[in-house]
Amino acid sequence: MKKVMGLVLAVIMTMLLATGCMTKKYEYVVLEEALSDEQYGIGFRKADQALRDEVQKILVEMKKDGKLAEITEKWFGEDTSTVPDTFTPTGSTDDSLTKIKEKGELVLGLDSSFPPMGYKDSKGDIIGYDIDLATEVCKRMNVKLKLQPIVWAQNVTELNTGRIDCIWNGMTINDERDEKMNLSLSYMNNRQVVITLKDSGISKLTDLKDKTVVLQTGSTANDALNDRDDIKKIIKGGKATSVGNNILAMYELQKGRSDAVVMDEIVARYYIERPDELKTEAEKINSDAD
Amino acid sequence: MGWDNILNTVEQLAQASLQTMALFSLTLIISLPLGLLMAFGRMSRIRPISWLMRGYLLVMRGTPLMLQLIFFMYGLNLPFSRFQVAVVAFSLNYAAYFAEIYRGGIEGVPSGQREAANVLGFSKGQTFFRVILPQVIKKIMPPMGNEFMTLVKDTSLAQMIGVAEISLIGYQLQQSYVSMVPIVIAGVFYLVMNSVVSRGFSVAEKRLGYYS
Repeated sequence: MKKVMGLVLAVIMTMLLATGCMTKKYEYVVLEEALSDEQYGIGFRKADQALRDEVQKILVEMKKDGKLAEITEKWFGEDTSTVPDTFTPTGSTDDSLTKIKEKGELVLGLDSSFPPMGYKDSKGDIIGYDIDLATEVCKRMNVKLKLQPIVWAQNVTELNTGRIDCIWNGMTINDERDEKMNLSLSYMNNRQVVITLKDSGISKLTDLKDKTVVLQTGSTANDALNDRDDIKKIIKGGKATSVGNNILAMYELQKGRSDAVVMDEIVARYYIERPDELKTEAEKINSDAD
Repeated sequence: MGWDNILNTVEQLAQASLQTMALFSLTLIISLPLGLLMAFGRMSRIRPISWLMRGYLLVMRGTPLMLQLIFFMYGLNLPFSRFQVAVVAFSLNYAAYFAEIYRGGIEGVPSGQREAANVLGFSKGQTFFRVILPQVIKKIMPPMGNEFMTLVKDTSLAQMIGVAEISLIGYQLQQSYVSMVPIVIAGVFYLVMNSVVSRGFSVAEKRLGYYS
């Protein structure tokens, strides 16, 4: 009997949750004015110059033979990649590349919840733009690609302890990372943008005055806002709220808890153009929490 | 990380620890009495009440607190501030654990004592508050100490729904400085708080040991 009661309660709770999450049609707007411009790069261990150069060299080759444009167009509809036309290797002779070749695999660390760069599809497979790029690079290096989901906040530690060989997951290039990692050249531009609901009356950054702003804990959005004192000063409370991930940040918007979300433009566009994806992502988070 | 950054980290974490401590205390203030009520419900001779309570305890103890936080926040969309939602979720969750601890303590008192009190003319209320409860409190101190210490650490889950407690600030600083130092310092904050809790329980247990 107590099992039945428990079951009934569990069902009721699930139903409440389901109705709570039921998506009304929300219309999102991405403000034209961005908070900051930035670039994505790939992170390697500080000492792994040879490996970094090899990957960079292959990316440039892929640009030349059109493979890069093909992959980029598949994910973004146009060729928005910023891989340079030429690259002169630094001629370093450390053993990082030989080690990878001997091992026969490159371990790529990623957040696995960062669409469209690297994320899990509904079947649970990790896919994305970065994954396609890395797969091609590994094919040309003649090694296997191993995807290793990590806790994003621990990325440098994962790298330095050798559990992963690179971080390749829409990672923003900044001074702190440049100091701790060996970064590739920029391969794509990104902006930190503000998302609001259509009827919010916010159409430019200064409209954020006395509005509540939410973002993902430890995300680049946080740094971008910190660098924009003019905007940070005028938002309600003088700082943004941090929640567990971008999906929860979007919930904040839907439920009227916050007026605006700051996140990577590339991710934002992806969510807004594919509202279904937001739903499956949310379902996944719920099942992950189990 | 330079000293400036470390100082800044400590300062920010100290501020965040106020949120952590507020969440901790409010949760206890609500869940300790609530748990006792739930224990009575669970032991009730009225079957439906006892079944309902069992179901509740199963759900609250059988699902992750993080899930419950997200559910109360975005599923039910309770009309409270995010801090208040966290207090509600934590209180309901911890009350469920406390209920079982109370029940263990209450059922551990031999029924002969109840009968004796009855013979001596104690009312039901008097029997419970004068005879049973003092013994229960003594008995449940060790498991309660466990729960209190777990609660101090569990408050970190509130970061999911944007409560600016120690862990959230720690992870934020870890990202902006790309350094492990902030979360190590955050750990020290938890350790200090739990030392106080642990010490408090040692003292309390000593005071309660009036017959030994």
